[in-house]
Amino acid sequence: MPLIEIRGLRKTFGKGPGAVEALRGIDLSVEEGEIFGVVGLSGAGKSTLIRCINRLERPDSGSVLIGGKDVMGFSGRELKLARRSMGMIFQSFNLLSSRTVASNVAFPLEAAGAPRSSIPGRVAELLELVGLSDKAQSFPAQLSGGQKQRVGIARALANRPKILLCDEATSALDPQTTTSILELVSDVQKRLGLTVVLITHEMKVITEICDRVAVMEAGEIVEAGATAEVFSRPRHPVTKGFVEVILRRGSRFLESGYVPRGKLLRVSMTGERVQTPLAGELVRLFGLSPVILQAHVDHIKDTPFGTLVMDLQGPQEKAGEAVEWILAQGNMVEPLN
Amino acid sequence: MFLTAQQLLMLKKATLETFYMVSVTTGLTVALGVPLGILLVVMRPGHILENRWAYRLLGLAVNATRSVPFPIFIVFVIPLTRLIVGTSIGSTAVIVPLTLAAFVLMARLTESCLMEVPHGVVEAAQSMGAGNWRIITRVLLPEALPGLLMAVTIAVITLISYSAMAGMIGGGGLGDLAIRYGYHRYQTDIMWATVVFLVVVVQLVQYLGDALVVKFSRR
Repeated sequence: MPLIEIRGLRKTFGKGPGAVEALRGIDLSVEEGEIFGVVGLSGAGKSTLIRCINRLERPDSGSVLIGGKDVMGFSGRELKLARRSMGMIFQSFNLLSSRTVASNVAFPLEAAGAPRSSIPGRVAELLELVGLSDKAQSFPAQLSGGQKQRVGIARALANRPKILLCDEATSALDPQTTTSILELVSDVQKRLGLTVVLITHEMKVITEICDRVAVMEAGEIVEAGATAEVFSRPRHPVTKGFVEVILRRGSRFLESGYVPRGKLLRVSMTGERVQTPLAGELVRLFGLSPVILQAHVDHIKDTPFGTLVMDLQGPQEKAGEAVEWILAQGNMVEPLN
Repeated sequence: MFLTAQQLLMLKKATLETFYMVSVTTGLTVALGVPLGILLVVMRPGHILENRWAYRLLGLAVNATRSVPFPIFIVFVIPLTRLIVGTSIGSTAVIVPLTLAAFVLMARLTESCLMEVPHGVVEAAQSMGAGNWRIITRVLLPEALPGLLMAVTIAVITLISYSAMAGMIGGGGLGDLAIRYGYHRYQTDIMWATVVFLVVVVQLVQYLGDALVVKFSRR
């Protein structure tokens, strides 16, 4: 049974002609122990979606089952308990500016009614976990963005939740800091066996840590599956757009006046296939002279993922055969001319 | 000093009366105005105790109270003053209209301070399973504390100025002294003395308020 199961979730903001349908029937399930990403452009409805999971937002219809129990049916007391079993971190960190770092981390423990004497020890443990033991007595205003998010993570984990919700948690951070926060999330996820649901508009976040991904557009999920799967075979235009961004798959060489003399192809490879000497084989087997215009290898989660754009010069009667062969190896081929 | 011993005595008595009125009223104003201000925030649409009708009703009542000019207000609430204090004359009686007029101002000031607390912080507290009472007492109020201290400073200074109108119903105090002796009896020196004294007092209050704001600011 999935840990989180979302069924037919709908939410409309406002009424009449100005109404915005943020969620238009979302179905989604998240397995225990995975990092599940929802990616989409701003306004796609992903923030509304994640906020429905701990009921910061109340959907109009549909259900959110956590371990089989519908969050929508919870009373005030049950909702508080359910929320304590889910930590949440935010784009704008949302720390209490009047409290020190240690006191911020203590807040959820106080709210959960933890014995007063147990709090300092637990806070120290959490600050150690996120590497901020030396900042315990600082105020949030004295911290950098990355440090603030670390406090956010420590705070979110205080009550030993099973689920961590990340609402654009790295969107306000620079690329290096984003990487370090993603490493931290991935690290605590493994160590504590957490289930992570994150939403983002940054492909980097998805490709670095997500096991599975759902692509959202205009309140609907347009594509979902294992991350490497979805991004190596993008079907929906939005998904394709995201892939272009991460792999810089433009065709600027054509704009710059390059005139291909043979068949122009884009080949996408995943997994071990990335390691096949593709160009060499084309020379050896078909007597072609591939000109490599663009080559790129990246990782999606732990799967290598490569693209190769080449101009297949040489005997063109062999080119068709070569394409067949590339496909037979399990790669994707997209003709560009 | 150019004042006679008798005048100084009057000044001292008036100062004590003003101090009495302002301090008691400040206490009541904060005790009543801050909770009302909290209600004006948490009952807003989308907030933790959303209640459209109660919010509108309270807002209407606050605005109505604030619309009446203070001298008229004093007269207007005389029946209520009699009911509470037993008389409508004297320093204690003045506390009723003063409190009523000032606590709605304090409520609006509190409201604007609390609105400054980012909603995300409230949501973060909710996401940690904090209840409404905890959110009010441990999130909204501490986060808005510097602003609230500034608001109390403004309220105290407004009260000092309002209390000067207390003379209308025999409430005494510095304003009363300045009008009765300084204006009606042409004793300009008394008027000058009170004005200078009031300026100094207001400066001190503002200075104290600013110092507290700095002490509690963490941003």
